[in-house]
Amino acid sequence: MHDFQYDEPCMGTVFSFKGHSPFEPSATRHILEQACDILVEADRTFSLYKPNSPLSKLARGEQSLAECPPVVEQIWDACEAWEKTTDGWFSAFTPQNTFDPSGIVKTWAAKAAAEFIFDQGIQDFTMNAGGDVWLSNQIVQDIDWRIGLHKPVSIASPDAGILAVIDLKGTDFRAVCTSGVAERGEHIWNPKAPGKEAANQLLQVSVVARDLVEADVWATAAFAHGPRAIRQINEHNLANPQNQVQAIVVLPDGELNATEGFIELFAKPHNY
Amino acid sequence: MSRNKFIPVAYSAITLASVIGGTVLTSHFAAASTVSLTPVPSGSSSGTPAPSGSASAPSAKKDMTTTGDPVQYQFGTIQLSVTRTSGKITAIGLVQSQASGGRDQVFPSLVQAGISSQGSGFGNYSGATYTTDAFKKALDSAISKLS
Repeated sequence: MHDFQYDEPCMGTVFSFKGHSPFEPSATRHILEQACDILVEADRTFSLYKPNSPLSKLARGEQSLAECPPVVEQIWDACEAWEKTTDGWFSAFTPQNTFDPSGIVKTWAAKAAAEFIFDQGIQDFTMNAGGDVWLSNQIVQDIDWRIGLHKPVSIASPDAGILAVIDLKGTDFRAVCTSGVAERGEHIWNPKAPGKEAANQLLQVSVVARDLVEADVWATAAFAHGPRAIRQINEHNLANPQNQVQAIVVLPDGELNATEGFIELFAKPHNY
Repeated sequence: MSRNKFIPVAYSAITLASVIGGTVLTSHFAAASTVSLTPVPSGSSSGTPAPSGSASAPSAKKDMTTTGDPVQYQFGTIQLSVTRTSGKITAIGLVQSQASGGRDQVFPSLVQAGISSQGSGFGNYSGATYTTDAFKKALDSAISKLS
């Protein structure tokens, strides 16, 4: 096995792949580069920062949904489904009523890249998509099952550090996503506010789920919802026992709250 | 719901355990898998963390138990002891924990989180989506502390 780490700047952030490959470094690198092409292609299609992307043209009304690549409609449908699942707290429609699926495109593309790598035969690895973490099913080392949740401050700040550590070994959970204002300010709108104003009732939300996109959507939805998201997710878990997610939130005064099952995910002492 | 409101002070289980236990925990992106721990001698009068980045561990790591100063916060008082064995924190004890509104019940989970994260490390971290710029700054910061 060969250890590897590969960082790809894309979508204004960094995607990191880290693990153990059965292949020689050059072959591993080739697989990772191909995986990152998936990210680049998604960015080309969905970026609202690129004026000529299909999504930018859609937002300006220059192009219809039917004229966009088929993947745009897939994402549109996925966004509508997630809006239902989260009782309207996740919404891809901006305060200006344009379609902005950035909330799931990053993790959707990242998931596709990770699955490509896995299918090519690299199966013991983790992916960090700019702060959203995905774990493969075949992780060998205990440390890779453990994920630190960052404090609700920027990783570039002198106070950068870890809020808590969770351990997903032995669980069905494979993804952790965090939403907050620490890096990019207020950027999540509240779809239920009269003018869809920016949500600001929480400093940060971390959500643990089986699937990366699912964790991402719930983190965004919970952030928009505010402190009452904990009750919403507890109720969601009761109604969907096969599809539970767990969340921990940081309130504006620094207090934490979490869903019923979160406490079991805290890392236990090791190696003593 | 009060039993779920389990972290009452600052942001953090780790901050709480590390500040009160008289230990400093530093973690930066480049060093994310190696959480450094710098014990502070017993009797240190400060309840605040030392500057981050003091990553050099002392060469002699005697087995010892230290007791931190009692710390007042908005919901009460907490005081912890920390036991180090073979260079690792193996126990954090509650010397005092009086807090209002059932918050004292949450301390044992804080203590566990504190021990586990310092002792075991982790392979990744999750945080708000950082910008490329923030990533570079964090990396520079961590690298500058290596020398």
